[in-house]
Amino acid sequence: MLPPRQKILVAEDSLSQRVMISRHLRKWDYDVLEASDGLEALSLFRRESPSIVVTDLDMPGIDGFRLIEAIRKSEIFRTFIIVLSASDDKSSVVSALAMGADDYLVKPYHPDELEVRLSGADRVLMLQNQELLIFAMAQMVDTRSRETGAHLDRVQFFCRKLAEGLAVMGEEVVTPSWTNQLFSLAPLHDVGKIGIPDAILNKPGRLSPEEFEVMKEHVTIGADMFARIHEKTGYAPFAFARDIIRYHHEKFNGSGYPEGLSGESIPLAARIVALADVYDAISSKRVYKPAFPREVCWDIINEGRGTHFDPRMVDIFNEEESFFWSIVEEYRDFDL
Amino acid sequence: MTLTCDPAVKEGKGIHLNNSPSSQSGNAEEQAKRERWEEELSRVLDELCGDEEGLEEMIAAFLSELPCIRHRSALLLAEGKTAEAAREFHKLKGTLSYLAGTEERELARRAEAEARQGVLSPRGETVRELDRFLDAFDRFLRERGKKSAG
Repeated sequence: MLPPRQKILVAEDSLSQRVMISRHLRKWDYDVLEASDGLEALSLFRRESPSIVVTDLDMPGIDGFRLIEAIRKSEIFRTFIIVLSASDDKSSVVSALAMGADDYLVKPYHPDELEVRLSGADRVLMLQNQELLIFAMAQMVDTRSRETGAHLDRVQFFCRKLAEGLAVMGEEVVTPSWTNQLFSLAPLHDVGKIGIPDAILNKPGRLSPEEFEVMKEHVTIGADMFARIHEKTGYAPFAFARDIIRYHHEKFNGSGYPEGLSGESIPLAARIVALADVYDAISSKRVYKPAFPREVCWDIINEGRGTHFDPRMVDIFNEEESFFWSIVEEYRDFDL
Repeated sequence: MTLTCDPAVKEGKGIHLNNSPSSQSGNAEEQAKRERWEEELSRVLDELCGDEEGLEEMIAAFLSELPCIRHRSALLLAEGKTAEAAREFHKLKGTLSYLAGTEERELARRAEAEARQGVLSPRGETVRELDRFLDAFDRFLRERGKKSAG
């Protein structure tokens, strides 16, 4: 069986242009949907969920700008939008991109140019889908360990807020792309739990010292897995993930595991995930404990300032505590 | 606003911007243009990887939408709705950029720009020039189609 073809929506009010664009796209093996105005395009978009949209700007019904805006509001996964317009003025280009278009081509296009732009779209979509796969993989592990449903989402939001706080403090490493990487990869922090026996992973009470030693292995199991993937691919984000997984149980005063690293020798991303993960564990219900009240969570985090956690993280937490609690409430899990 | 286009207009029987007599085929200037248009169509055919059927479909689509564009733009200009007429010229510019050449695209661009500025006169030079070209181009494409069919 052939793999499913990428769905692409062409929104173009000129029939002859639509015919030509569609001919090109079908030649490149896309599954083409055609719309002769913005409203028809929007309705097809909602019904068929194409992964790429090629749209004109000047169209009856709703124009290309409104179409882009409506797509960005209603989509679940990001669609790649290419504007194909006869307008070459800078203000149209800037407006379309600002509204959420990913690329802009001026008519008349050369088929080679469109094909190259579509390859770019495919690359972006592939990366985006890799992120979804990473999240799905982390969720699979969480499901096995009966961790709460929205744990990973909450940890992602906490991490992003902490990273943004560090950027405000002038931490040079923390750029927007670094923060995005952290946001995407933080859910993998406990992926090594896949190698921990069920009896230990899901034990309702406290773990014995021996059991705890086994449980601690999840950081090396996960980190080794990602170290191997990194060796094979050389893809830097896998090394970033490896560090988060391996070091998120280190403590700022050197009393954590697996290496007993302290202070700034603990990778920054792992220091961020450490606080995010602990805060989520104490503020939400688990099989072995109830959710602690807001004030207790505050106290626990502050007691860990400089011992468990990087003091800067705790300072950012204190600044942004209301945001942290709003995430706890918004993503609260009810059934355990 | 969307103006509908009746079947008579689609067949090319609607009003045009000007009712100037069409230039006769065989005229040397038009002949030179026809050769250039033929080259442009060869280029489109190359870009379609030799897909003759695709090119014919595209030309047929253009010929079916052209009378409507002309009808609507003439009507809008006559009513003084220049901004809306500009949209029709914009669409024409886009289509011509594939099927015709730079010169024709420039003509449509000029009409669009003048309409946007509100200075495009229904009887002015730009409109007359555009009308002459569209008559000739329409004739060229239809005759070419007949030859291909024959």
